[in-house]
Amino acid sequence: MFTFIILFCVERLKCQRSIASIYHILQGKRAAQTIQDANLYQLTGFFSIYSKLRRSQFDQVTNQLLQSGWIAFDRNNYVYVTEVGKQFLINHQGHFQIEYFDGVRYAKIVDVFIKRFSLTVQTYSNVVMDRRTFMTIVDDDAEKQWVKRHYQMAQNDLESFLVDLHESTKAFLKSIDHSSAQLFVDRLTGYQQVGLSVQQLARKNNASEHDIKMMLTLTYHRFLQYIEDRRPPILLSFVNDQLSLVNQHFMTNSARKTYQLMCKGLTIDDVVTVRQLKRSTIEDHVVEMAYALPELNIETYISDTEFNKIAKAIQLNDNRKLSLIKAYLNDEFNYFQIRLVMARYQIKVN
Amino acid sequence: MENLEISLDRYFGYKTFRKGQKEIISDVMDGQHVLATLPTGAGKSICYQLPALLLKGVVIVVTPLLSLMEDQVKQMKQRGYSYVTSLNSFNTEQERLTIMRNLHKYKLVFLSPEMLQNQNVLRKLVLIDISLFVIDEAHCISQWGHEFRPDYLKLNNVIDHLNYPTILALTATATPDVQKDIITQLSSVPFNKHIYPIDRDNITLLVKQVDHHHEKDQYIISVLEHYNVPTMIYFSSKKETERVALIITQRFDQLNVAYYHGDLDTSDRLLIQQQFMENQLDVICCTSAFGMGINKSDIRLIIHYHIPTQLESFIQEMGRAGRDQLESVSITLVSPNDHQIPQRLIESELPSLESIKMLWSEIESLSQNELTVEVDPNEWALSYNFSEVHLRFIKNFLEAYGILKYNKYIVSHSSLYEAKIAIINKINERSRYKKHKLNELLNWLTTSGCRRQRLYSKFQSQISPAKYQCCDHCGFDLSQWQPLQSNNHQRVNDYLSQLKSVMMPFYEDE
Repeated sequence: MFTFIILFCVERLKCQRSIASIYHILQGKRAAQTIQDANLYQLTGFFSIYSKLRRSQFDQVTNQLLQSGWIAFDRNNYVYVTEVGKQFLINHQGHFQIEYFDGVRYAKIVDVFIKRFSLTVQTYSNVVMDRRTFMTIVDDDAEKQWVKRHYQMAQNDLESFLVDLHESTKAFLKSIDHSSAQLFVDRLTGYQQVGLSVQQLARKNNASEHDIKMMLTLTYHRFLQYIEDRRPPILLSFVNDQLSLVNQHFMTNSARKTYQLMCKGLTIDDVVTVRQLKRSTIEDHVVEMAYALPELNIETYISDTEFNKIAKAIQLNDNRKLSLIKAYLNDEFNYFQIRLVMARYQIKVN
Repeated sequence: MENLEISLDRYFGYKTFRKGQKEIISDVMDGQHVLATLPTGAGKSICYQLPALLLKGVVIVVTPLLSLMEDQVKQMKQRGYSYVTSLNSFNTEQERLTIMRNLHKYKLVFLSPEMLQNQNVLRKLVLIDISLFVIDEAHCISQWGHEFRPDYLKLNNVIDHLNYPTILALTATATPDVQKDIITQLSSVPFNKHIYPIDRDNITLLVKQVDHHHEKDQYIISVLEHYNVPTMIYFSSKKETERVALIITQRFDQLNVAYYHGDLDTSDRLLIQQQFMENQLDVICCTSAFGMGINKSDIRLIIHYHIPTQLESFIQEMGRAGRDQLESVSITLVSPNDHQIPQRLIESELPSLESIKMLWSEIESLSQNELTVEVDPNEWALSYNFSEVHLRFIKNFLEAYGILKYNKYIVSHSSLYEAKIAIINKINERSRYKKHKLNELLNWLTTSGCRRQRLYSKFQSQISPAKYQCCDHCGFDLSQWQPLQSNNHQRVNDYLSQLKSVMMPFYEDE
C-alpha cells in the first residue's frame, strides 16, 4: 500500500516536482511550499499521514521503486511513473481505498484520538475485571490524564459503557472491509489480551511495516469520518474537544498571522511593515489563504477580466509550470497574480 | 510505628517479606548504611519503595537503567502512589524544571548518575530532606564490576556534599572482589553488609557443544518439538534474533514467537513484553535489552544461543528462569570459535589506542599559548568513532587531570602526557580484566566438574544442592526433564469475537 501511495503521488506531480516534495507531504512539513504542493496536485488527503517517516526510510523505498523501474527521473531530476509503474497503479486502482485518507483534516487529531481510544479500552477492560495493575500501552501523560478524567464519569457503570462502546465500534467496523476491521481489532489491547505489534501485523498480513502503518492510519481516518458523520455520542466523547481543529484552515502559522492582520483591514504593504517580512513572503501567505479560504476575496489583487485571461492560459497549458504560463501571457502578469488565480482556479476545478 | 509486615501488606498487598528484605529495611529505617546483595528476582525494589512510603523526606535512587526507572515509576503509579518521578536525560527542559521545583514533594525520585553531575540538581538536593540515598546496581561503582560506570565514582563526592544521608547500596551480582571494591570506593560510609546467596537451586544447567553454529538452529528446533514452555533465547546480535524467530515461526505453526531488541520502537517493545507476560508468546528471541524489569515468574527455559561476556551477566540472564521456584532449565549452546563474539564486544566497549593517540595530538595542537580553548567533545565522538560510553570514560580522565573543564574548555596542557600514559594503562588494564572475565566464563563452559559448583564458587562459599536435577555433568539429560507443558494461546481470527472479548471481557460465551 505504501508503494501504491508513493506511485500515486508521483503520478499526480506530473513530472513537475522533485521526489522530496512527496516526502514532505507525507511527513507533513508545515512549509508554504509543501502546503501549496499538496493543494496544487490534489494530494491534501495524504498530508501528514506518516509523520514519523524518516527520510532514510523514504529514500530506501523510492530507491527500490527506481531499481525495479516503476519510477524514473527526467533530465530536470523531476520524477515520473514509468509504464510498468502505471500498470501497477491501474491494476490496483480502488484496491487500497486511499481516497479515504483525509490528512489535512485528521492528521492533527488522529494520534490523540487513537491513543485515548486504545488506552480507554485497555483501562476499562482491565478494571472491569478487577485488575487494577497493568502496564499501559500508551505513555503520554496528557492522554493518561484524559482517560483518568473520562474514567471519573464512566466508573459508576463501566459495564454498560463498554457494552455501548462495543456496539458503536462494531457498527463502524461492519461498515468497512473485513481485512481493515481485522487489523484494527488485532491492534487493540484489553484484559488478558495484548494487541499485536506492527512487526507482528506485518508478518501476519504478509505486508511491510510501512503498509501496516498506512492501513491502520487509513482505518483511523475512516473511523473519524464515521464519527463526524454519524455522531454516535459515546465515540464523539473521545474527540469532542478536538473537532474544532479538524476544520481549521489549512495554512502555515505564519500565514495565519498574516490572515488575522488582513482581517483587520491591513493591506499587503501594511503587513510587510508590521511584520517586518519581505513582500514576497506576504504574497506567499495570500496564495496560501486563497487555497485555504474559498470565500477569500481576491479582487483587490486581480480584476475579473484579468482572472479570466490567466485562467484561460492555465487551461490551455494543461501544465502548472509558472514560467511557461507567464511567458504565454507575454509577461503581462506577475507570478503572484498567476499563482493566485491558480489557487482559486484549482478550487473551482475540484 | 506499625509493624513492617503490616505496612508491607497495606502498601503492596504482600503478606510476608522475601529473604533479606526485612533485615535490610529495618536497618535503613534505623539510619544504618547498608550494602546488600540479593539474587535477581528477590525483590530489591521493595527495599527502598517501602521506606519511601514510611519515612519522612525523599528517597533518592541512583540507577543507570533508564528502562528500570520508567518501569518502576509506572508500577508505583499503578499502585496509586503518584509522588514518584525520575530525572534523566530524556526529560524535556520543561519537565525537568517542574520536577526540580517540586522535588521536596516527592517520596521517591529516580536519578541517572549523569544527573548528579548537574550543578542545579545538586544544589536542589542539598536543600531537601533526603531520608535514604539508594545506589542501585552498586557494582557499577567497581572498576572490576561487569558494568563499570565512571560516573559512579563521583558518588563519593555527592554523598559528602549531601552530608551523609543514610546509604543503601544494592546489587544482584557482586563477587567478594567487587564487594570489597564498593566498600573501598565509598570508604567514608560504614556499611552493614547483608550478603545473600545468589545461587538458584531450581535451575538445571546444561551446556551443549555443537560442531557448527548452524547446528544450533537444529538443536533449538528439536528442543521446541518436545517442550512447549515459556522460553527465552538470548542472542548477542539483533539480526540473529530476527532470523531465528523466523525459523521457529516457519517450523511451528502452533507456537507464538517474537523477537525483541533495542531497535524496536517503544510501543512495539511494550506490546511484546506484555504478550510474553500474558502468555500470548511462547518463545522470545531477544538480546540482553529484554529482561530489565520483566517480572514473569514461570519462565521455564532459558537458552543462550550466544554467550555473554562474563559469568555475572550469564547468571543474571539465566536467573530469569523459574522465579516461582519450580524446576527450570538453562541451556547454553556452544560451537567452535564462539568466544570471538564476546571478544569483539569487549573490544568495542573500550576506545581504541589509536583513536586515543589521535585525540591527544588534536588537543595538543589546539593551542600552546592560550590557556582556555573551547571544544566540543561530541565532535570528538564523531571524528574518532567514540560511543557514548567511550566518551564519558575519556572525559572523566581529562577532567581528573585538570585538562578539560565544564565539558567544553581545554584549560591546561601541562599534564597531557601524563594523562595519556594513564588512560592507555587503564585501557590495557581494563581490557586484560575483561578478557580474564571472559575466560572465566569460557572455562566454565569447558569444565569437567559440577557446573553448579563452578558457576557460583566465585560468589559464595556455600552452594545449596540442586532442588531438582543438577547439571549435565552430574548426570542430567534433557530427556529427563518433564515440566508441565503450556496450552497454546490460539488467537481467534474472527474480529467480531475478538472485539467482544477485548471490550466486554465479562461477557462469557456459552
